[in-house]
Amino acid sequence: MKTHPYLRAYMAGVTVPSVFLLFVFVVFCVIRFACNPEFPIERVLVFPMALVPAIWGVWNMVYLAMHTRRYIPLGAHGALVPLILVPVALVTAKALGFEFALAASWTIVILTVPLLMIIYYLVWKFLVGFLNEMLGIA
Amino acid sequence: MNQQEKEKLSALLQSALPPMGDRALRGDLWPRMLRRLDRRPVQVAWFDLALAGLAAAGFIAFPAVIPWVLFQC
Repeated sequence: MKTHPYLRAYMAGVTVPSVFLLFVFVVFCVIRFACNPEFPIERVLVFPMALVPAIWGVWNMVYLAMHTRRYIPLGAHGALVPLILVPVALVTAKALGFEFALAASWTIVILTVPLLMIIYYLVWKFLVGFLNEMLGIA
Repeated sequence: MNQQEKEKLSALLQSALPPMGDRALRGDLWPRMLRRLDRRPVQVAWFDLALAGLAAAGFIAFPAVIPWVLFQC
């Protein structure tokens, strides 16, 4: 497999959040049908469904473009994603009027960043790294 | 089903299935198996374990963060 490296990088990046999304779906469905919240929870799914996998795929393409030069390891590269993701998620949540976003204090939002960075570091290092190796990238 | 239909069906089946003649292995699989066995298993560094522990402690200490994290995964 020597052709289309950027397409393979995109696919490797998209795979992990797409699989994990199934579990997020289950959580959302349980909340939707068991708790029956007041606000339209379906709108909450737009961000994780539409944007997050695409961002992961594009970010892995960026890694492929950068790693030929001297560049940071894959885990550290992945840990940078929340620095983009959290502000975008915050704006989306505020714009669409999600209750949990409006109710969340700045402490919670700020605490989310380092926790997400740790999770992303580990996931990118082990899972995305494994997929990249399997697909012959990096 | 008459004879003509049987022959037609047989021809269709034969055209759909690839010929078995060139299905022999192109190489010995045992060296590849040995290389796979020699490959070291994934080693998790203490630093990664410490980070995972830190994240777990963060979620236990601040459960209000969990919806936010799920929202961005």
